[in-house]
Amino acid sequence: MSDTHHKASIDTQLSELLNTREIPSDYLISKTLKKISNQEEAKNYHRVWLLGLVSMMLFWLEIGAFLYFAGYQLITLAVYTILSSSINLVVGLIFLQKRRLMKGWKLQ
Amino acid sequence: MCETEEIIRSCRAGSSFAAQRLIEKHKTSLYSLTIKLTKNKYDAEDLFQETWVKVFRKLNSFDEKRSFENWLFTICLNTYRDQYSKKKRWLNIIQNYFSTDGTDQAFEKVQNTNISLEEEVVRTDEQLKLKKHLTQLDDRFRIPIILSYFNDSSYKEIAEMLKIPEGTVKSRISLGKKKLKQLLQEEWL
Repeated sequence: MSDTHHKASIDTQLSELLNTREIPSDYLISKTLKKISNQEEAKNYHRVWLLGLVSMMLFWLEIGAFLYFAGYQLITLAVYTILSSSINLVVGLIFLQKRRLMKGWKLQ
Repeated sequence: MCETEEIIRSCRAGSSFAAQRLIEKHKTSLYSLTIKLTKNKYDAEDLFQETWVKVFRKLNSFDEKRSFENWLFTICLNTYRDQYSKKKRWLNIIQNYFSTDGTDQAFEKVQNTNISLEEEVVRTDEQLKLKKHLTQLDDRFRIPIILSYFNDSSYKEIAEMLKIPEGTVKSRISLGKKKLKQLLQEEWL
């Protein structure tokens, strides 16, 4: 057999062998989608916890700063705490919604 | 704006429907590549899933000027090189050995076409031999050959995907084919 024949033959054979398409099963696709969604949820879950922890620390820092500068007065502290935590909560929720961090929790 | 770009933007905005559309659109090409790379169905399925997980993790860094399919293949190739090429997945290889039979494939093909069974068995046998030698070929030669014939990718595209110079791609493909020819000739003798 000549070398040219071999060359053409190997090109054709490689093309026949490699230029084929296999269709993945629906089960594999659904498994893949589930894996992606689980990963997103886990990522979001950790982000939300981290964000919550940072916010909590900032909140107590804020209360500490308030007590340091304004001195201890029960009623002012109570009103301030309620107002501050409500504002923080609303801003936090808007922020989370905007960043789509709660996707996994089906809030959007 | 092309359809893929539109889908990618929706995916970035967090749409799970868009994610499904993106996977559906590229499922056949990616799955076919994973089958060719991994040598067995079970590893191919794992690689397929891991590639998509990485794609969605890195979607924000995708440059829309690039071809999405080439980017997808690059991620797949990197995942393969990181996790599959050096691992000896004996169980999967054994499972695959018992689940595929060339004669069955030839018989199925003949039932759907006008080719004679004898002709098809010879052709399938040749293909199986080529497949066996291609599987044994070093990944340095095997991967450029797969990319070149599987997707008719240009040398430039393959060079970009493998991050090697174009000249190296050309020489690896030519050397790989030479080695394959040699192995096939040895078997015919």
